[in-house]
Amino acid sequence: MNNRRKIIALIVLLLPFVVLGLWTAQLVYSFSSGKNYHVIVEGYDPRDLLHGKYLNLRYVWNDARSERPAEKQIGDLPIRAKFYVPERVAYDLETMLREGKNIFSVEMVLYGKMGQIRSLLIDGKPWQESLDAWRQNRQDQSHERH
Amino acid sequence: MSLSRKLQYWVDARLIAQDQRENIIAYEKIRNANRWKHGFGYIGILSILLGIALIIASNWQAIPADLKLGGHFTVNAVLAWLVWQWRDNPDRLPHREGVLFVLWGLTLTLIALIGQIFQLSGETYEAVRLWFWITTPMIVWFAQGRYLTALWAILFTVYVPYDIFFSIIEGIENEAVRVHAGLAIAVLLPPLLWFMGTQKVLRDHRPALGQSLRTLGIIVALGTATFAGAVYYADNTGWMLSPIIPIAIGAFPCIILLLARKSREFDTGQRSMIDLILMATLFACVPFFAFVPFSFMAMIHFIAFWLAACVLFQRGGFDRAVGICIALVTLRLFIGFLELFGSMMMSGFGFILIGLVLIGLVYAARHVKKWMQERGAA
Repeated sequence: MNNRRKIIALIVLLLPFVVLGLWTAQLVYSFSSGKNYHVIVEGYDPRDLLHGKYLNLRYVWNDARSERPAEKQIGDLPIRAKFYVPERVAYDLETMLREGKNIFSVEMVLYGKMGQIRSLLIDGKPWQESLDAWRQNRQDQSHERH
Repeated sequence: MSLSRKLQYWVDARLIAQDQRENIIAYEKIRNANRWKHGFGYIGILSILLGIALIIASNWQAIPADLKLGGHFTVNAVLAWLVWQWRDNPDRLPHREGVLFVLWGLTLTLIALIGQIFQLSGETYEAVRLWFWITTPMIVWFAQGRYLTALWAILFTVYVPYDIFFSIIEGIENEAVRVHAGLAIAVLLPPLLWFMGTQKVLRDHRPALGQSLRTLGIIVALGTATFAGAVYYADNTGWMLSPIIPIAIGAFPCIILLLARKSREFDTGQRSMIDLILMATLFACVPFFAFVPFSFMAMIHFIAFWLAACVLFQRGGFDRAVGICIALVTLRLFIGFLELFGSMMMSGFGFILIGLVLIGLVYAARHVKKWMQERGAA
Protein backbone atom coordinates (compact mmCIF):
# COMPACT_ATOMS: atom_id res chain seq x y z
CA MET A 1 0.00 0.00 0.00
CA ASN A 2 1.60 3.29 -1.07
CA ASN A 3 1.49 6.38 1.14
CA ARG A 4 -1.42 8.06 -0.66
CA ARG A 5 -3.61 4.97 -0.40
CA LYS A 6 -2.57 4.55 3.21
CA ILE A 7 -3.69 8.10 4.05
CA ILE A 8 -7.03 7.64 2.27
CA ALA A 9 -7.59 4.34 4.09
CA LEU A 10 -6.88 6.00 7.41
CA ILE A 11 -9.23 8.91 6.65
CA VAL A 12 -12.16 6.65 5.68
CA LEU A 13 -11.62 4.51 8.77
CA LEU A 14 -11.46 7.52 11.06
CA LEU A 15 -14.34 9.43 9.43
CA PRO A 16 -17.09 7.92 11.66
CA PHE A 17 -15.01 8.66 14.76
CA VAL A 18 -14.31 12.25 13.76
CA VAL A 19 -17.95 12.99 12.85
CA LEU A 20 -19.44 11.29 15.92
CA GLY A 21 -16.71 12.70 18.19
CA LEU A 22 -17.32 16.29 17.05
CA TRP A 23 -21.07 15.80 17.31
CA THR A 24 -20.74 14.49 20.87
CA ALA A 25 -18.46 17.39 21.83
CA GLN A 26 -20.96 19.89 20.43
CA LEU A 27 -23.81 18.20 22.35
CA VAL A 28 -21.81 18.18 25.59
CA TYR A 29 -21.08 21.89 25.12
CA SER A 30 -24.69 22.90 24.39
CA PHE A 31 -25.98 20.63 27.17
CA SER A 32 -23.76 22.25 29.76
CA SER A 33 -23.68 25.88 28.64
CA GLY A 34 -27.13 26.66 27.15
CA LYS A 35 -29.78 28.73 28.95
CA ASN A 36 -32.29 26.61 30.84
CA TYR A 37 -36.05 26.80 30.14
CA HIS A 38 -38.82 25.21 32.16
CA VAL A 39 -41.59 23.99 29.82
CA ILE A 40 -44.84 22.11 30.44
CA VAL A 41 -45.20 18.97 28.30
CA GLU A 42 -47.87 16.43 27.44
CA GLY A 43 -47.49 12.96 25.97
CA TYR A 44 -48.40 11.10 22.80
CA ASP A 45 -47.40 7.84 21.03
CA PRO A 46 -44.98 6.34 23.58
CA ARG A 47 -42.95 3.77 21.60
CA ASP A 48 -40.41 3.49 18.83
CA LEU A 49 -38.68 0.36 17.62
CA LEU A 50 -35.12 1.55 17.08
CA HIS A 51 -34.68 3.66 20.17
CA GLY A 52 -36.25 1.26 22.65
CA LYS A 53 -38.38 2.91 25.33
CA TYR A 54 -38.97 6.63 25.44
CA LEU A 55 -41.73 9.07 26.06
CA ASN A 56 -42.90 11.08 23.11
CA LEU A 57 -43.62 14.53 24.44
CA ARG A 58 -45.22 17.65 23.04
CA TYR A 59 -44.15 21.06 24.37
CA VAL A 60 -47.04 23.19 25.63
CA TRP A 61 -45.54 26.61 24.93
CA ASN A 62 -48.79 28.52 25.43
CA ASP A 63 -49.13 27.30 29.02
CA ALA A 64 -48.61 30.20 31.43
CA ARG A 65 -46.13 28.12 33.43
CA SER A 66 -43.88 27.51 30.39
CA GLU A 67 -40.82 29.71 29.93
CA ARG A 68 -39.67 30.75 26.51
CA PRO A 69 -37.34 33.32 24.97
CA ALA A 70 -39.16 36.62 24.66
CA GLU A 71 -37.93 37.29 21.13
CA LYS A 72 -39.28 34.01 19.72
CA GLN A 73 -42.75 33.21 18.39
CA ILE A 74 -44.28 29.80 19.24
CA GLY A 75 -43.91 28.78 15.57
CA ASP A 76 -40.12 29.16 15.87
CA LEU A 77 -39.87 26.76 18.80
CA PRO A 78 -39.61 22.96 18.80
CA ILE A 79 -42.91 21.10 18.87
CA ARG A 80 -42.02 17.60 20.00
CA ALA A 81 -39.36 15.82 22.03
CA LYS A 82 -38.37 12.35 23.06
CA PHE A 83 -37.32 11.50 26.57
CA TYR A 84 -35.53 8.18 26.96
CA VAL A 85 -36.40 6.25 30.08
CA PRO A 86 -35.25 2.92 31.53
CA GLU A 87 -37.16 -0.09 30.22
CA ARG A 88 -38.50 -1.07 33.66
CA VAL A 89 -40.19 2.31 34.31
CA ALA A 90 -41.42 3.13 30.82
CA TYR A 91 -44.82 1.52 31.21
CA ASP A 92 -45.57 3.25 34.55
CA LEU A 93 -44.49 6.65 33.23
CA GLU A 94 -46.65 6.12 30.18
CA THR A 95 -49.60 5.28 32.45
CA MET A 96 -48.99 8.42 34.54
CA LEU A 97 -48.93 10.52 31.39
CA ARG A 98 -52.12 8.95 30.10
CA GLU A 99 -53.95 9.42 33.41
CA GLY A 100 -53.30 13.17 33.19
CA LYS A 101 -53.40 13.64 36.98
CA ASN A 102 -49.79 14.85 37.22
CA ILE A 103 -48.12 17.86 35.64
CA PHE A 104 -45.20 16.87 33.42
CA SER A 105 -42.55 19.45 32.62
CA VAL A 106 -38.98 19.53 31.35
CA GLU A 107 -35.83 21.53 31.91
CA MET A 108 -34.48 22.13 28.44
CA VAL A 109 -31.91 23.96 26.34
CA LEU A 110 -32.81 25.67 23.07
CA TYR A 111 -30.57 25.98 20.04
CA GLY A 112 -32.31 27.26 16.93
CA LYS A 113 -35.49 25.32 16.36
CA MET A 114 -34.09 22.35 18.23
CA GLY A 115 -34.52 21.47 21.86
CA GLN A 116 -32.50 19.26 24.15
CA ILE A 117 -34.06 18.03 27.36
CA ARG A 118 -31.88 18.16 30.46
CA SER A 119 -34.35 16.60 32.89
CA LEU A 120 -37.95 15.51 33.24
CA LEU A 121 -40.00 16.73 36.19
CA ILE A 122 -43.33 15.45 37.46
CA ASP A 123 -45.23 17.88 39.67
CA GLY A 124 -42.06 19.94 39.92
CA LYS A 125 -39.95 17.06 41.31
CA PRO A 126 -37.46 14.76 39.52
CA TRP A 127 -39.44 12.07 37.75
CA GLN A 128 -37.81 9.23 39.75
CA GLU A 129 -39.11 10.72 43.01
CA SER A 130 -42.66 11.26 41.75
CA LEU A 131 -42.74 7.85 40.12
CA ASP A 132 -41.75 6.14 43.38
CA ALA A 133 -44.53 8.02 45.22
CA TRP A 134 -47.06 7.11 42.49
CA ARG A 135 -46.07 3.44 42.64
CA GLN A 136 -46.28 3.44 46.45
CA ASN A 137 -49.71 5.05 46.28
CA ARG A 138 -50.93 2.47 43.77
CA GLN A 139 -49.61 -0.36 45.93
CA ASP A 140 -51.39 1.06 49.01
CA GLN A 141 -54.66 1.33 47.09
CA SER A 142 -54.31 -2.25 45.91
CA HIS A 143 -53.75 -3.47 49.49
CA GLU A 144 -56.79 -1.52 50.71
CA ARG A 145 -58.96 -3.15 48.04
CA HIS A 146 -57.86 -6.63 49.08
CA MET B 1 -21.93 -38.51 -1.53
CA SER B 2 -18.58 -38.29 0.23
CA LEU B 3 -15.62 -36.69 -1.50
CA SER B 4 -13.73 -39.99 -1.49
CA ARG B 5 -16.56 -41.86 -3.25
CA LYS B 6 -17.13 -39.04 -5.74
CA LEU B 7 -13.43 -39.02 -6.62
CA GLN B 8 -13.50 -42.80 -7.04
CA TYR B 9 -16.37 -42.40 -9.54
CA TRP B 10 -14.24 -39.92 -11.48
CA VAL B 11 -11.27 -42.32 -11.38
CA ASP B 12 -13.52 -45.13 -12.69
CA ALA B 13 -14.80 -42.82 -15.43
CA ARG B 14 -11.15 -42.03 -16.29
CA LEU B 15 -11.66 -38.33 -15.65
CA ILE B 16 -8.80 -38.21 -13.11
CA ALA B 17 -5.93 -40.55 -12.27
CA GLN B 18 -5.62 -42.60 -9.05
CA ASP B 19 -2.68 -40.53 -7.76
CA GLN B 20 -4.69 -37.31 -8.36
CA ARG B 21 -7.48 -38.78 -6.23
CA GLU B 22 -5.04 -39.52 -3.42
CA ASN B 23 -3.46 -36.07 -3.64
CA ILE B 24 -6.86 -34.37 -3.43
CA ILE B 25 -7.88 -36.47 -0.40
CA ALA B 26 -4.56 -35.72 1.35
CA TYR B 27 -4.96 -31.98 0.62
CA GLU B 28 -8.55 -31.88 1.97
CA LYS B 29 -7.45 -33.80 5.09
CA ILE B 30 -4.82 -31.17 5.92
CA ARG B 31 -7.20 -28.31 5.10
CA ASN B 32 -9.92 -29.61 7.41
CA ALA B 33 -7.62 -30.76 10.22
CA ASN B 34 -8.12 -27.61 12.34
CA ARG B 35 -11.77 -27.03 11.55
CA TRP B 36 -13.13 -28.34 14.87
CA LYS B 37 -10.57 -26.34 16.85
CA HIS B 38 -11.60 -23.13 15.04
CA GLY B 39 -15.28 -23.98 15.52
CA PHE B 40 -14.96 -24.46 19.29
CA GLY B 41 -12.70 -21.40 19.55
CA TYR B 42 -15.29 -19.17 17.85
CA ILE B 43 -18.11 -20.57 20.00
CA GLY B 44 -15.99 -19.83 23.10
CA ILE B 45 -15.33 -16.22 22.00
CA LEU B 46 -19.01 -15.75 21.13
CA SER B 47 -20.05 -17.08 24.55
CA ILE B 48 -17.67 -14.67 26.35
CA LEU B 49 -18.91 -11.69 24.30
CA LEU B 50 -22.53 -12.67 24.92
CA GLY B 51 -21.84 -12.95 28.66
CA ILE B 52 -20.22 -9.48 28.74
CA ALA B 53 -23.13 -8.01 26.73
CA LEU B 54 -25.69 -9.52 29.13
CA ILE B 55 -23.87 -8.24 32.24
CA ILE B 56 -23.74 -4.74 30.70
CA ALA B 57 -27.40 -4.90 29.62
CA SER B 58 -28.62 -5.97 33.08
CA ASN B 59 -26.76 -3.05 34.73
CA TRP B 60 -27.42 -0.56 31.94
CA GLN B 61 -29.25 2.01 34.11
CA ALA B 62 -26.51 1.97 36.74
CA ILE B 63 -23.73 2.77 34.25
CA PRO B 64 -22.97 6.53 34.05
CA ALA B 65 -23.58 8.13 30.65
CA ASP B 66 -19.90 9.10 30.25
CA LEU B 67 -18.82 5.52 30.79
CA LYS B 68 -21.39 4.19 28.31
CA LEU B 69 -20.23 6.61 25.64
CA GLY B 70 -16.55 6.18 26.41
CA GLY B 71 -16.90 2.39 26.43
CA HIS B 72 -18.70 2.37 23.11
CA PHE B 73 -16.15 4.67 21.47
CA THR B 74 -13.36 2.43 22.83
CA VAL B 75 -14.91 -0.79 21.48
CA ASN B 76 -15.34 0.85 18.07
CA ALA B 77 -11.77 2.14 18.17
CA VAL B 78 -10.42 -1.34 18.96
CA LEU B 79 -12.37 -2.81 16.05
CA ALA B 80 -11.13 -0.05 13.73
CA TRP B 81 -7.58 -0.78 14.88
CA LEU B 82 -8.05 -4.48 14.02
CA VAL B 83 -9.36 -3.57 10.56
CA TRP B 84 -6.30 -1.37 10.09
CA GLN B 85 -3.89 -4.08 11.29
CA TRP B 86 -5.36 -6.68 8.94
CA ARG B 87 -5.85 -4.37 5.94
CA ASP B 88 -3.16 -5.94 3.73
CA ASN B 89 -3.14 -9.46 5.11
CA PRO B 90 -4.93 -11.91 2.78
CA ASP B 91 -4.81 -14.65 5.44
CA ARG B 92 -6.87 -12.43 7.73
CA LEU B 93 -9.49 -11.52 5.13
CA PRO B 94 -12.41 -13.43 6.76
CA HIS B 95 -11.50 -11.98 10.18
CA ARG B 96 -11.28 -8.47 8.75
CA GLU B 97 -14.65 -8.82 7.04
CA GLY B 98 -16.22 -10.02 10.30
CA VAL B 99 -14.70 -7.21 12.37
CA LEU B 100 -15.65 -4.62 9.73
CA PHE B 101 -19.22 -5.89 9.76
CA VAL B 102 -19.40 -5.58 13.57
CA LEU B 103 -17.81 -2.09 13.44
CA TRP B 104 -20.37 -1.08 10.82
CA GLY B 105 -23.27 -2.22 13.00
CA LEU B 106 -21.79 -0.76 16.19
CA THR B 107 -21.46 2.66 14.55
CA LEU B 108 -25.26 2.69 14.24
CA THR B 109 -25.70 1.64 17.87
CA LEU B 110 -23.25 4.41 18.87
CA ILE B 111 -25.43 6.98 17.08
CA ALA B 112 -28.49 5.56 18.87
CA LEU B 113 -26.63 5.77 22.20
CA ILE B 114 -25.66 9.42 21.61
CA GLY B 115 -29.31 10.15 20.81
CA GLN B 116 -30.42 8.41 24.01
CA ILE B 117 -27.88 10.05 26.32
CA PHE B 118 -28.44 13.58 25.01
CA GLN B 119 -32.22 13.13 24.72
CA LEU B 120 -32.25 13.99 21.02
CA SER B 121 -35.59 14.17 19.27
CA GLY B 122 -34.51 13.24 15.75
CA GLU B 123 -36.29 10.67 13.63
CA THR B 124 -34.99 7.14 12.99
CA TYR B 125 -34.33 7.85 9.32
CA GLU B 126 -32.05 10.75 10.28
CA ALA B 127 -29.91 8.42 12.41
CA VAL B 128 -29.79 5.88 9.56
CA ARG B 129 -28.87 8.63 7.08
CA LEU B 130 -25.97 9.81 9.22
CA TRP B 131 -24.79 6.22 9.79
CA PHE B 132 -24.99 5.29 6.12
CA TRP B 133 -23.03 8.28 4.82
CA ILE B 134 -20.27 8.28 7.43
CA THR B 135 -19.65 4.54 7.12
CA THR B 136 -19.99 4.20 3.34
CA PRO B 137 -16.40 5.27 2.52
CA MET B 138 -15.11 2.79 5.12
CA ILE B 139 -17.14 -0.12 3.74
CA VAL B 140 -16.37 0.65 0.09
CA TRP B 141 -12.67 0.94 0.86
CA PHE B 142 -12.17 -2.04 3.15
CA ALA B 143 -14.90 -4.60 2.34
CA GLN B 144 -13.81 -7.21 -0.20
CA GLY B 145 -15.90 -10.29 0.61
CA ARG B 146 -19.06 -11.20 -1.22
CA TYR B 147 -21.42 -10.99 1.73
CA LEU B 148 -20.48 -7.63 3.19
CA THR B 149 -20.29 -5.92 -0.19
CA ALA B 150 -23.64 -7.41 -1.20
CA LEU B 151 -25.17 -6.22 2.08
CA TRP B 152 -23.85 -2.69 1.55
CA ALA B 153 -24.99 -2.69 -2.09
CA ILE B 154 -28.51 -3.78 -1.05
CA LEU B 155 -28.63 -1.06 1.59
CA PHE B 156 -27.39 1.49 -0.96
CA THR B 157 -30.02 0.38 -3.47
CA VAL B 158 -32.84 0.56 -0.96
CA TYR B 159 -31.80 3.51 1.14
CA VAL B 160 -30.42 6.07 -1.32
CA PRO B 161 -33.45 6.13 -3.70
CA TYR B 162 -35.76 6.16 -0.65
CA ASP B 163 -33.93 9.14 0.79
CA ILE B 164 -33.79 11.01 -2.53
CA PHE B 165 -37.47 10.31 -3.20
CA PHE B 166 -38.62 11.58 0.19
CA SER B 167 -36.37 14.64 -0.04
CA ILE B 168 -37.93 15.49 -3.43
CA ILE B 169 -41.56 14.96 -2.48
CA GLU B 170 -41.31 16.64 0.92
CA GLY B 171 -43.98 19.31 0.91
CA ILE B 172 -45.39 18.30 -2.50
CA GLU B 173 -49.06 17.42 -2.21
CA ASN B 174 -49.72 16.74 -5.91
CA GLU B 175 -50.07 12.96 -6.36
CA ALA B 176 -49.09 13.04 -10.05
CA VAL B 177 -45.80 14.83 -9.29
CA ARG B 178 -45.01 12.30 -6.54
CA VAL B 179 -45.75 9.33 -8.85
CA HIS B 180 -43.58 10.72 -11.65
CA ALA B 181 -40.74 11.56 -9.24
CA GLY B 182 -40.88 7.91 -8.14
CA LEU B 183 -40.86 6.77 -11.78
CA ALA B 184 -37.84 8.96 -12.59
CA ILE B 185 -35.85 7.50 -9.68
CA ALA B 186 -36.94 3.94 -10.50
CA VAL B 187 -35.79 4.15 -14.14
CA LEU B 188 -32.55 5.98 -13.42
CA LEU B 189 -31.45 3.66 -10.63
CA PRO B 190 -30.78 0.44 -12.66
CA PRO B 191 -28.44 2.03 -15.24
CA LEU B 192 -26.72 3.96 -12.45
CA LEU B 193 -26.11 0.78 -10.43
CA TRP B 194 -25.05 -1.22 -13.45
CA PHE B 195 -22.59 1.37 -14.76
CA MET B 196 -21.18 1.87 -11.27
CA GLY B 197 -20.59 -1.89 -11.16
CA THR B 198 -18.74 -1.86 -14.48
CA GLN B 199 -16.28 0.90 -13.52
CA LYS B 200 -12.66 -0.12 -14.00
CA VAL B 201 -11.69 0.86 -10.48
CA LEU B 202 -14.27 -1.57 -9.05
CA ARG B 203 -13.49 -4.29 -11.58
CA ASP B 204 -9.80 -4.15 -10.69
CA HIS B 205 -9.90 -3.51 -6.95
CA ARG B 206 -13.37 -4.44 -5.65
CA PRO B 207 -14.71 -7.14 -8.02
CA ALA B 208 -17.22 -8.43 -5.46
CA LEU B 209 -18.70 -4.95 -5.00
CA GLY B 210 -18.85 -4.41 -8.76
CA GLN B 211 -20.63 -7.72 -9.23
CA SER B 212 -23.15 -6.92 -6.46
CA LEU B 213 -23.95 -3.53 -8.00
CA ARG B 214 -24.39 -4.98 -11.49
CA THR B 215 -26.64 -7.77 -10.19
CA LEU B 216 -28.72 -5.30 -8.20
CA GLY B 217 -29.02 -3.04 -11.25
CA ILE B 218 -30.55 -5.93 -13.19
CA ILE B 219 -32.83 -6.96 -10.29
CA VAL B 220 -34.09 -3.39 -9.83
CA ALA B 221 -34.66 -3.03 -13.59
CA LEU B 222 -36.68 -6.26 -13.65
CA GLY B 223 -38.65 -5.22 -10.56
CA THR B 224 -39.37 -1.71 -11.86
CA ALA B 225 -40.66 -2.92 -15.23
CA THR B 226 -42.72 -5.67 -13.58
CA PHE B 227 -44.37 -3.48 -10.95
CA ALA B 228 -45.06 -0.68 -13.44
CA GLY B 229 -47.64 -3.04 -14.97
CA ALA B 230 -49.70 -2.68 -11.78
CA VAL B 231 -50.64 0.80 -13.05
CA TYR B 232 -53.20 -0.92 -15.32
CA TYR B 233 -55.16 -1.88 -12.20
CA ALA B 234 -55.58 1.79 -11.21
CA ASP B 235 -59.15 2.84 -10.43
CA ASN B 236 -58.59 6.54 -10.95
CA THR B 237 -56.25 8.53 -13.15
CA GLY B 238 -55.45 11.31 -10.69
CA TRP B 239 -51.75 10.41 -10.93
CA MET B 240 -51.62 11.01 -14.70
CA LEU B 241 -49.76 13.92 -16.25
CA SER B 242 -49.12 14.77 -19.87
CA PRO B 243 -47.73 11.72 -21.78
CA ILE B 244 -44.70 13.83 -22.69
CA ILE B 245 -43.39 13.70 -19.12
CA PRO B 246 -42.98 9.89 -18.81
CA ILE B 247 -41.51 9.87 -22.34
CA ALA B 248 -38.98 12.52 -21.27
CA ILE B 249 -38.24 10.59 -18.07
CA GLY B 250 -37.58 7.37 -20.02
CA ALA B 251 -35.67 9.06 -22.84
CA PHE B 252 -32.70 10.14 -20.74
CA PRO B 253 -31.63 6.67 -19.48
CA CYS B 254 -32.44 5.18 -22.91
CA ILE B 255 -30.09 7.61 -24.70
CA ILE B 256 -27.33 6.91 -22.17
CA LEU B 257 -27.83 3.15 -22.58
CA LEU B 258 -27.87 3.33 -26.39
CA LEU B 259 -24.63 5.31 -26.37
CA ALA B 260 -23.04 2.90 -23.91
CA ARG B 261 -24.11 -0.04 -26.05
CA LYS B 262 -21.84 1.18 -28.85
CA SER B 263 -18.80 1.12 -26.58
CA ARG B 264 -16.30 -1.64 -27.36
CA GLU B 265 -15.64 -2.03 -23.68
CA PHE B 266 -18.58 -4.41 -23.23
CA ASP B 267 -18.79 -8.07 -24.30
CA THR B 268 -21.91 -9.87 -25.61
CA GLY B 269 -23.17 -10.79 -22.14
CA GLN B 270 -22.80 -7.21 -20.91
CA ARG B 271 -24.49 -5.84 -24.05
CA SER B 272 -27.41 -8.17 -23.38
CA MET B 273 -27.69 -6.70 -19.90
CA ILE B 274 -27.60 -3.14 -21.30
CA ASP B 275 -30.41 -4.17 -23.67
CA LEU B 276 -32.29 -5.66 -20.74
CA ILE B 277 -32.08 -2.42 -18.72
CA LEU B 278 -33.05 -0.44 -21.82
CA MET B 279 -36.05 -2.65 -22.38
CA ALA B 280 -37.01 -2.52 -18.68
CA THR B 281 -36.91 1.30 -18.87
CA LEU B 282 -39.32 1.27 -21.80
CA PHE B 283 -41.65 -1.23 -20.12
CA ALA B 284 -41.56 0.84 -16.91
CA CYS B 285 -42.62 3.99 -18.77
CA VAL B 286 -45.19 2.52 -21.18
CA PRO B 287 -48.09 2.28 -18.68
CA PHE B 288 -47.59 5.95 -17.80
CA PHE B 289 -47.86 7.36 -21.30
CA ALA B 290 -50.11 4.72 -22.87
CA PHE B 291 -52.56 4.02 -20.07
CA VAL B 292 -55.59 1.87 -20.81
CA PRO B 293 -58.11 1.35 -18.01
CA PHE B 294 -58.15 -2.42 -18.58
CA SER B 295 -56.49 -4.82 -16.12
CA PHE B 296 -55.90 -7.45 -18.86
CA MET B 297 -53.18 -5.10 -20.14
CA ALA B 298 -51.23 -5.82 -16.97
CA MET B 299 -50.93 -9.47 -18.02
CA ILE B 300 -49.91 -8.58 -21.56
CA HIS B 301 -47.34 -6.13 -20.21
CA PHE B 302 -45.92 -8.71 -17.79
CA ILE B 303 -45.72 -11.55 -20.30
CA ALA B 304 -44.28 -9.40 -23.08
CA PHE B 305 -41.61 -8.05 -20.75
CA TRP B 306 -40.58 -11.41 -19.30
CA LEU B 307 -40.53 -13.13 -22.70
CA ALA B 308 -38.27 -10.38 -24.02
CA ALA B 309 -36.11 -10.69 -20.86
CA CYS B 310 -35.96 -14.45 -21.48
CA VAL B 311 -34.57 -13.87 -24.99
CA LEU B 312 -31.95 -11.42 -23.70
CA PHE B 313 -30.89 -13.74 -20.88
CA GLN B 314 -30.61 -16.57 -23.40
CA ARG B 315 -28.44 -14.38 -25.64
CA GLY B 316 -26.23 -13.42 -22.72
CA GLY B 317 -25.81 -17.07 -21.67
CA PHE B 318 -27.64 -16.75 -18.32
CA ASP B 319 -29.35 -20.16 -18.33
CA ARG B 320 -30.72 -20.03 -14.79
CA ALA B 321 -32.38 -16.67 -15.46
CA VAL B 322 -34.01 -18.12 -18.58
CA GLY B 323 -35.63 -20.84 -16.43
CA ILE B 324 -36.90 -18.21 -13.97
CA CYS B 325 -38.40 -16.14 -16.83
CA ILE B 326 -40.27 -19.15 -18.20
CA ALA B 327 -41.58 -20.06 -14.73
CA LEU B 328 -42.80 -16.48 -14.14
CA VAL B 329 -44.56 -16.28 -17.50
CA THR B 330 -46.30 -19.60 -16.80
CA LEU B 331 -47.39 -18.43 -13.36
CA ARG B 332 -48.67 -15.12 -14.72
CA LEU B 333 -50.60 -16.91 -17.45
CA PHE B 334 -52.30 -19.01 -14.81
CA ILE B 335 -53.19 -15.94 -12.72
CA GLY B 336 -54.24 -14.06 -15.85
CA PHE B 337 -56.66 -16.74 -16.93
CA LEU B 338 -58.15 -16.87 -13.45
CA GLU B 339 -58.59 -13.08 -13.60
CA LEU B 340 -60.02 -13.20 -17.09
CA PHE B 341 -62.36 -16.15 -16.94
CA GLY B 342 -63.07 -16.14 -13.24
CA SER B 343 -63.33 -19.91 -12.82
CA MET B 344 -61.03 -22.93 -12.99
CA MET B 345 -63.19 -24.51 -15.70
CA MET B 346 -63.03 -21.56 -18.07
CA SER B 347 -59.37 -20.99 -17.23
CA GLY B 348 -58.74 -24.59 -18.21
CA PHE B 349 -60.14 -23.87 -21.69
CA GLY B 350 -58.01 -20.74 -21.82
CA PHE B 351 -54.87 -22.76 -21.03
CA ILE B 352 -55.67 -25.35 -23.69
CA LEU B 353 -56.18 -22.55 -26.19
CA ILE B 354 -52.90 -20.80 -25.35
CA GLY B 355 -51.08 -24.15 -25.37
CA LEU B 356 -52.37 -24.84 -28.89
CA VAL B 357 -51.36 -21.34 -29.98
CA LEU B 358 -47.83 -21.78 -28.58
CA ILE B 359 -47.38 -25.21 -30.23
CA GLY B 360 -48.72 -23.74 -33.48
CA LEU B 361 -46.22 -20.88 -33.24
CA VAL B 362 -43.29 -23.27 -32.70
CA TYR B 363 -44.50 -25.42 -35.66
CA ALA B 364 -44.89 -22.37 -37.89
CA ALA B 365 -41.48 -20.98 -36.85
CA ARG B 366 -39.80 -24.31 -37.70
CA HIS B 367 -41.44 -24.35 -41.15
CA VAL B 368 -40.58 -20.72 -41.84
CA LYS B 369 -36.95 -21.38 -40.89
CA LYS B 370 -36.81 -24.49 -43.11
CA TRP B 371 -38.43 -22.60 -46.00
CA MET B 372 -35.95 -19.75 -45.65
CA GLN B 373 -33.00 -22.18 -45.57
CA GLU B 374 -34.29 -23.89 -48.75
CA ARG B 375 -34.72 -20.55 -50.50
CA GLY B 376 -31.23 -19.56 -49.39
CA ALA B 377 -29.79 -22.83 -50.78
CA ALA B 378 -31.67 -22.38 -54.06
